[in-house]
Amino acid sequence: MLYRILGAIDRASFAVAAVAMATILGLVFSMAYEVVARYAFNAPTVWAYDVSYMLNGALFLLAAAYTLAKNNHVRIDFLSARLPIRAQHGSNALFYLVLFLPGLGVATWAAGETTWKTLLSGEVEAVSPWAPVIWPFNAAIAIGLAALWLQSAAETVRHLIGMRVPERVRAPSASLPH
Amino acid sequence: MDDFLPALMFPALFALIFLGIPVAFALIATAFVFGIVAFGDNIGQILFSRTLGVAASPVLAAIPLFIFMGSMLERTSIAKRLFEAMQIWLGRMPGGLAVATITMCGVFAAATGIIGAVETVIGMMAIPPMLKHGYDKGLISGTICAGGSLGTIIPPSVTVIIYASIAELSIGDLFVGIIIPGLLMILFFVGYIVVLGILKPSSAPPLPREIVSIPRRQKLAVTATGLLPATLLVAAVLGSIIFGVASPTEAAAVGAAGALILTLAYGEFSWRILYEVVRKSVSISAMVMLIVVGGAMFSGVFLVNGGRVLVADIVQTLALPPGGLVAVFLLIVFLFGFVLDWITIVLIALPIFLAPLKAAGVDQVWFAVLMVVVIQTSYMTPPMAPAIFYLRSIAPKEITYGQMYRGVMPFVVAELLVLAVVALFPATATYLPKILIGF
Repeated sequence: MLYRILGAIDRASFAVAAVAMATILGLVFSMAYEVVARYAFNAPTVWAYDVSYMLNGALFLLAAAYTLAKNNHVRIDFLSARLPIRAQHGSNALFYLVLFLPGLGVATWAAGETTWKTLLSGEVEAVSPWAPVIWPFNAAIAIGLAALWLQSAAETVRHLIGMRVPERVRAPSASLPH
Repeated sequence: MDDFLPALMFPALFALIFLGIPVAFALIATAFVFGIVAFGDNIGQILFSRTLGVAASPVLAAIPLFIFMGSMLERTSIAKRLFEAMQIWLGRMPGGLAVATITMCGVFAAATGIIGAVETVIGMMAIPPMLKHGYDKGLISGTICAGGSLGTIIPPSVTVIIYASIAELSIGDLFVGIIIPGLLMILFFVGYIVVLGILKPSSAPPLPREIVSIPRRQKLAVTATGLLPATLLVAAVLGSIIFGVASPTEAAAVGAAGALILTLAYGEFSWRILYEVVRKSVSISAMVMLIVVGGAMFSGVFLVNGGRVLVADIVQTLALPPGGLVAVFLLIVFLFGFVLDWITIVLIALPIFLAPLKAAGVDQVWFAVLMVVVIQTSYMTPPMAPAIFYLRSIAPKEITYGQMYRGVMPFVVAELLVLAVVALFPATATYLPKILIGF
């Protein structure tokens, strides 16, 4: 049952990252379109600038949880790799429980609050001539952070399992994205 | 006691990092704990607004695009074609294969800008032929590490984009600023290989004539399909940034689209490859950008907590001339480089350096170039050298750590020479930005 839930969280992180994968293609084509529109059609878009940072901000946060699920976030583990495997799991679990889940939790909460407020007020990007509503961008950030929080919770459980039965979960050392 | 608090952030951060906690998470957690002291209940809002600041940066939007471009090119045969073309043109020189490897790295680094990626792709391609032709194993190791390290200094480099966003400098200025030092570095690398090839031909022999001399028609074909597309793509991306035709983000998108078109033109496109490239790109982007988020939180809390005053006090007590200040800062960066990855170095060191440097009247572009060269040097300086760890992961067992350490040393010296040249003649970094972008 527990492993089912953990697996479900991994899949949810991948689903959120799938949106990020579509977003990066959107970023490539919208920016390339802007250059073509400006020089070939002499008709620059009003939206390119806002779209560029919004897509970037959305895509890396939406992919953050999946990157954790794949254990691709950089770790400097030349020292910690010498600790006994149970101690490695223990220190990671303790870190998540005491420091990271609360810290990321309050940031995620603030992101959710801001999203809700900007949704109700219909606030627009003030400095932009295109003036898009701001809440979808805030929502993407909030969803990305929430997914990262959930994946962190799943990792916490894995480390707790690893303290007792290291064979049942993967080792904490990071791997490079490939 | 309050004055003391910001100073404690660094030991706390290092403790977490060396416990093997992901660097981005260690930064966020340290900012959270010390931020509670400064901001109380508002900490959540502060951390979120820092996240928002990074997410809404138009400058940083270039990063996933350059990563996409690099990952795409990595999947094509472009590196192989480049290597073939370089061998044909440079193979007969003393140390020909190593020279071809370095120059290919120069072009390929310009096309990808991700450290590690350049090194592994090129290493897997260039090590076997160099071994086959009897190259000294130390020279092979040094060549691959040095070539791979060029990703930092050959524009467009992700390091430089992050640097520019934190120091609030123009990306164009910095890209142009590192051109001469980057070329100088390639020149010194090649110079060392050629001299070694002349003095000790057995350790770096030229390629046999029969491999290099192929019919003129074929030679032109290899050059046209291997060298030309890559060079054009790089020239288009850099040129449009330098001459202000497009913003760095737009130029990066053109580069990414160009890489995609090139893959189609080579007939190597498949949906499977596109999926893999996109998946890898978002992962690397998340990895890089989350450290940037953590760094923004960390330095924000540090500076607000009284770190600004603390650093100003220390700098004042030291009473160094500007040159001495620069030397001390670069030494700190070099030492950080042994244990931290380059993104983290830029993110935690640079915000602290900026105010004292401005107060001392140090040229910003000059310091940026020096710092990039130092990061690159510490990337391959033993004993703690990421360059060598990457190499170990791809090199055959017959190349030992001893040979690697010995082999990179001449290249480390070459990088230090570049550092000395830029330090003594600031114009090598500042002249081009002035004439190209100053108008």
